[in-house]
Amino acid sequence: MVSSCQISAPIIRLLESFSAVDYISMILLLVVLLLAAILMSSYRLTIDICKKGAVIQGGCKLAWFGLTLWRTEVPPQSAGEFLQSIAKDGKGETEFSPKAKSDEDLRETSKKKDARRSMSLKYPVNAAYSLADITIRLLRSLLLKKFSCCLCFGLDDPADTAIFSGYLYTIAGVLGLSSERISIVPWFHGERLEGDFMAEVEMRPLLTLWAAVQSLRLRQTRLLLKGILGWG
Amino acid sequence: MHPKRSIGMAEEVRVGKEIVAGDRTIWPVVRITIFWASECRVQAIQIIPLAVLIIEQGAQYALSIDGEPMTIDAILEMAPLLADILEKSRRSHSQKGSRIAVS
Repeated sequence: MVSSCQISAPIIRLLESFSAVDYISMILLLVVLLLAAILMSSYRLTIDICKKGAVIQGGCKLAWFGLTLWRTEVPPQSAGEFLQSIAKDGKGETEFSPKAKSDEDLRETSKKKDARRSMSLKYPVNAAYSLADITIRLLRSLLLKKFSCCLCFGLDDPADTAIFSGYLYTIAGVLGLSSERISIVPWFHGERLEGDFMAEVEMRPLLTLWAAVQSLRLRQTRLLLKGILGWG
Repeated sequence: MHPKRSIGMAEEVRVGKEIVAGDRTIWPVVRITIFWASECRVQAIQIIPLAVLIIEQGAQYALSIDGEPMTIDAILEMAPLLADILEKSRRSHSQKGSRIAVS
């Protein structure tokens, strides 16, 4: 029987022969390999929402190699309650504490507002073009694995319902969604919104990052980014 | 979610959203024709205006889009949903009238 001491002795001798530079380079290599694994592996985002009558329910899940990284579920509740909960979340983010309302904070927020205003005045047309470019590139980096949408809707005017359903069919056609995946049924008997939506999207962070970098090659996008960050 | 439909054409007469112009309220009556490609897919939708019901200061009258004279009874026969609207307008006008008489 070979004892563990006999095996570990050459390993210890090998480790002793390593210098500090070797250790650092090994750690760096491991970090690079880990980053590559994180960036190149695929992540799967699943969204499932269903509204039947006044009740809305669904969930959202982010998985990596079958391992759930993040999950949120909307329990069966009325649409009003659901919208109220969203509004509460929004308020929580925008509310400021009394301490945060100091002069410096106010000055910073006014600076940011000015920057945004100047950006919106300076680059209205360029922004639309750049945003379209970024959106298209980012969408290309995503892979739609599963998709199904079944929608039944009605507005207060039959003419508006017909026009809106025409818009929805146009968008579905532009996105290349086949009729088996999408069903839009107009409802002419009053206001109504019912249906279910399910999508499974696969994304690789490296491709998304590459798409973002590629979109930065466009001058208008760089200007837009500068404007948003208040550097311009 | 919705009843199963057969492939083909389906027609129905509906009352559109009211248009308010000053004291006048105009209720359009339209014919909706839906061409179903399958039980859950719409091929085309056609909306044709047929008539309008005009309510103004207690007076109600109907107009046909094709130019033919039209009575209130004829428009009610076409779109029975308008009966409630007419009744409401008559009731509100009589209430207004009584208020004016009292004051």
